[in-house]
Order: sequence, then structure tokens, then C-alpha cells
Amino acid sequence: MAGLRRALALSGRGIDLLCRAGVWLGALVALAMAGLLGYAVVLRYLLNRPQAWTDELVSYLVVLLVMLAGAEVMRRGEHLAVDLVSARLPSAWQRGVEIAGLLSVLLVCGVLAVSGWQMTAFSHMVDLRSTGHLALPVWWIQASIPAGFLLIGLAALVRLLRLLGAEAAPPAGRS
Amino acid sequence: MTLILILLGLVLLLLTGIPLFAGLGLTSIVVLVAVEGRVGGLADEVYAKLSNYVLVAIPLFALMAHVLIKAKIVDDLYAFAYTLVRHWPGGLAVATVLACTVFAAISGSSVATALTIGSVAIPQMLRYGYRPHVAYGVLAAGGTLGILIPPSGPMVLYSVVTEASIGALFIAGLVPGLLLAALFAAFCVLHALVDGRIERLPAARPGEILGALRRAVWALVLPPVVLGGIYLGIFTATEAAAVGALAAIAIARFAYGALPLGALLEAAHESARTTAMLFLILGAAAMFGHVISVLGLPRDLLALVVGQEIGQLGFLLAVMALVFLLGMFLETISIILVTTPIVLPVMLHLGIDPVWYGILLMVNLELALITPPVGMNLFVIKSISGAGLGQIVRGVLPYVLLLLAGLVAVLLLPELALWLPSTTRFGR
Repeated sequence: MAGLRRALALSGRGIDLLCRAGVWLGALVALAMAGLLGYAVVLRYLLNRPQAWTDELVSYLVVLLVMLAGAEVMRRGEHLAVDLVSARLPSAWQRGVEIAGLLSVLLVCGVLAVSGWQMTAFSHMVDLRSTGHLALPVWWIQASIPAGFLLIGLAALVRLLRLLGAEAAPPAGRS
Repeated sequence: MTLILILLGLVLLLLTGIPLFAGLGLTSIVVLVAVEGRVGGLADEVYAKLSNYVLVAIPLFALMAHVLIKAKIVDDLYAFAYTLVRHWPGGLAVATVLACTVFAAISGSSVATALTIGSVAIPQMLRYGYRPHVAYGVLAAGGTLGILIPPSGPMVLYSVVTEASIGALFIAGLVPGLLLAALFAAFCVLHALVDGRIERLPAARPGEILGALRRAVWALVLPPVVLGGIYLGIFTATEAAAVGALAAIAIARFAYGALPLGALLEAAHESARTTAMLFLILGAAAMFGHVISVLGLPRDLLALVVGQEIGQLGFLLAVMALVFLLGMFLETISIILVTTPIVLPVMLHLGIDPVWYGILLMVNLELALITPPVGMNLFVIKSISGAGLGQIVRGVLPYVLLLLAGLVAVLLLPELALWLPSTTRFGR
């Protein structure tokens, strides 16, 4: 039993690390989007060389950013919620509501991870390409959807296990 | 009836404190399973909604705001506003409204505006004899200007749902936003004249004003660059956000010398988290939109409006009343994303300009930010000041009435919102 709890704690810390790495990559994507669009404006006005591909690329990068950063938001418990009722409940009930909320997150993320996987596999099978200048394989970006929701679901699972006291060590508490 | 049941179920579910994206997602999955017996294709809805060029503006405006906050440029902005009007009756409160107005034109977020200006302004106002509830009220209400004065994150989301021009929406928000700011400032002056306790300060000397202007000039340059670029057709709104973010980084780094690489990365980190938080709700709302479309609810609502021969004004009054009620219990993003797809077909059928409706919605959502029991700006002020919610609510009540007056004005005089877009390339 103690071994299982230690294994869960270790996995939890591994997932924490993935969440933190994801959001830092997302931060770099945000800076890259600003750079790409700024570059396009400069080239259009200063060198009279419009770059049609940048608009297409940033509209894919924004999907990537969300899927990279979503799990860290879950890990930190920063997702927007209205706690009007739950905040007034006794603490045991609050815990129950939080558990129900995390189970809902797990269900939604599970459905979207599976559905996202099916979408990506289909786009890969028919070699679907983006309709803009880049003609990128669409599955490259779509693959971030199942991966992102899987990671958000794992982050929710870690929170759930910690709430239930299933780990040997307390959460790292780093942010 | 189905619509009312689904909306009621959703609101009750969200009130339990479940993350909004999970609440919307869960409702969508349950209804789809009940109606179609399967949930295939939901990820397609999420992907289609998120891979949108217009949306890119939100992380970039957030980046711009976080950079300016990290570099403490906002303090100079407040100091300049204070130097300009401190000798007026209620001068500090007016300076707070002014600073909120300018920061609203930088940040695109009401919560960020209330949080950032509030941290600087509340201690000052209390020091100079303002009653606490008065100080809290000005800040909570001034912060709401963030979603009406462009750029505005909620406007971008509304534009993505309705496909209304984001440039037109930004430009349309300018006149009502500035009018409301003027109304708030006028109320502050009147209030100070009636309440004799508030200390009047001597007027600043010209040299003092010039000094404050020199320090704040960079923050003051950003809104004209961003909005002027959109207004003159030089950039798209998304490009304007990128130019604004890059300009903010350059100003913070080179003019202020206050943005080391670590701080820049932290600003990008915060921007990525804000974006993920908002866009996961948007993705879940896309699922919800798919569900209401499968159920044919917008079509039923349209049939009801046509059958009852409800006109533009009657429809708008009913929807605005509903949004006001929802605003007491839900936050702004979910209200935009849940209600807009339902009312959009009726709106178009009745010939209501989506830009006009968008501005009405934003003014109504400003109310949502300060009406109890759930008002995000009330919570922000509570977290900064440690005051009780009752005291803050007492302070915002006059502003609730002013915002209601503003809502009625934009409802009866659509030109307040539509005149400026009609004079530009956005006019149709």
C-alpha cells in the first residue's frame, strides 16, 4: 500500500513537471505570435512584402498555446468558477463538491481526448491539409487537442488524488 | 421550455463551483447523450472555434498589459492623472477614473484594470479622507470600463461568436466608454461637493505636471498607437495587439529599463495562463453551441418572436433583462458565450445591428461585474482591500444606476455606438 502511495506521489510530481513545462512552452508560443505578427507588419509597410502565411500560422499557434497552458491552470486551480453556493457549505460538503467538480473535469477531458484523437486520426488518414498558403497537414495542430485534454485530465486526477489523500507525500505546493 | 430547463440546469451546475469549462462541457455531453445517444465530433467543434485568427488578439493584449504591470508603468499613469485633477473637488477619485480609462485602453480587461489601478489608488484615497466605501465603489466601477473601452477581450469573444467585425466593435465602444467615464467622473465631483470631508489639494504647478507627463508619456502613447492603427486601417485588431505588445516590451525594456528577461517571461507565462483559462471556456461553449443548434433552440426562439410579433425594442429589453439577471450569478465570459448563439438568429431576423447589440451587451456586462452576489470586480476590490462585501456593494450602488442610465441611452440612441464606426472603413 505504501509503495502504491509512493508511486502515485512520484507520478503526481512527474505530471506537475509536465504541466509547468507546458505553460512555459505556451509562454514562448505567445511571444512567438507577437514576433511573427510584428514581422509581418514591418515587412508589409517597410519592405512592401506582405506575408500571408503568418496569419494562418498564428491561428494554429493559438490552439497550441491553449493546449500547452491549460493543464498548469488546472494544477494551480485557476480555472474560472463561481463558488457562490459551495463557499457557504460546511467544509465536508465543500470537499464533496470539489471532488464532484474534478470528476466532471475528468469526464469532459476524457470525452474530448477520445474525440480529439478520432478527429486527428481521420485528418491524418485522409491527409487533410490547411486551406491557406502553408497547406500544412491539419493533424499536426489537431494532435494538440487530445494531448492537451489528456494532460488537463491528468492534472485534475492528481488534484483529486491529493484531495483524497491517496499520495504518500503532500503536494509540492510550488507554483 | 427546453431552453429554460437547460439554462436553469446549467446555471445551477455552475453555481456549485465547478470550473466553467467543465460545467459547459458536462451539460453539453449529458444533453447530447440524451438526444443523440453519442458524443462524437465534439473535439471538431472545439478545434474549429479555437483556430481563429481574431482570437490571437487576446493573448497579445494580455501580454501587453502584463508587461506594463511588471514594469510598474501604471504607477506613473496614475501619478500623471492625479497631478492633472487633484485640485478638483473629488480630484483623487476623478484621477482614479481617468487612470482606469487609460488603462482600460491598454489592458482589455476589467478585472486587470480594477486590480492594477486599485492597488495604487485605494491607499491614496483613504489617506486623503475618502470614506472607504466611496473609494471601493470608484475602483470597482472604474474597472468595468476595461471591457467597453477598446481593446476588449470580451468583445473579441463576442466577435468570434457573431462574426461581427472586431474593428467595428472596438471603435463602437469608444464613445459610450468615454461617456460613461465622464459620467463617473462627474458623479465623483458632485459627491465630493456634497460630502465636506474630502480634502482639497492645491493645484499642481506646470513644472510638476510636465514632469509627471514626461514619466507617463510612454503609457499614454500606447492607446493611440493601437486604436489609431485599427481606426485608420493600418493594422487588423490582431496585428494591433501584436504591435501593442511589442511596443510595450520595447518601452518597458528601453525607456524604463525595467523589464529583465525573467520579468518578460513571467509576463508571457501569465498571458498564456489567462488565455488557456478563457479559451477552454470558449471551447466548451462551442460544444454547448453545437448542442443548442442540434436541439433547434435558436429556431424555436425565432418562431416564438415571429409568432408573438415582438419588435426590436421589446426583444432587446427582454434579452437585456435576462442578461442583467444572469449577470448577478454568472461571470461575463460565460454569459457572452451561452446567450449570444441563442439570440443571434433572432437578432439578425429583427435587423438588429450585431455591433450595436455587442455594445449593449458590454455595458450590461459592466453591470454584471459589480452586481452582487457574483461580481468579479467586487471580489477583486475585496481581495485588495480586505473590506467586507457589503461595504463594497454600498459603494458601487450609485455606479449601478449610472451604468443602467448608460445602457438605456445606448438602447434608445444607437448612434452613440454606431456613429464612429459609420465614419470609418467599418461603416456599412
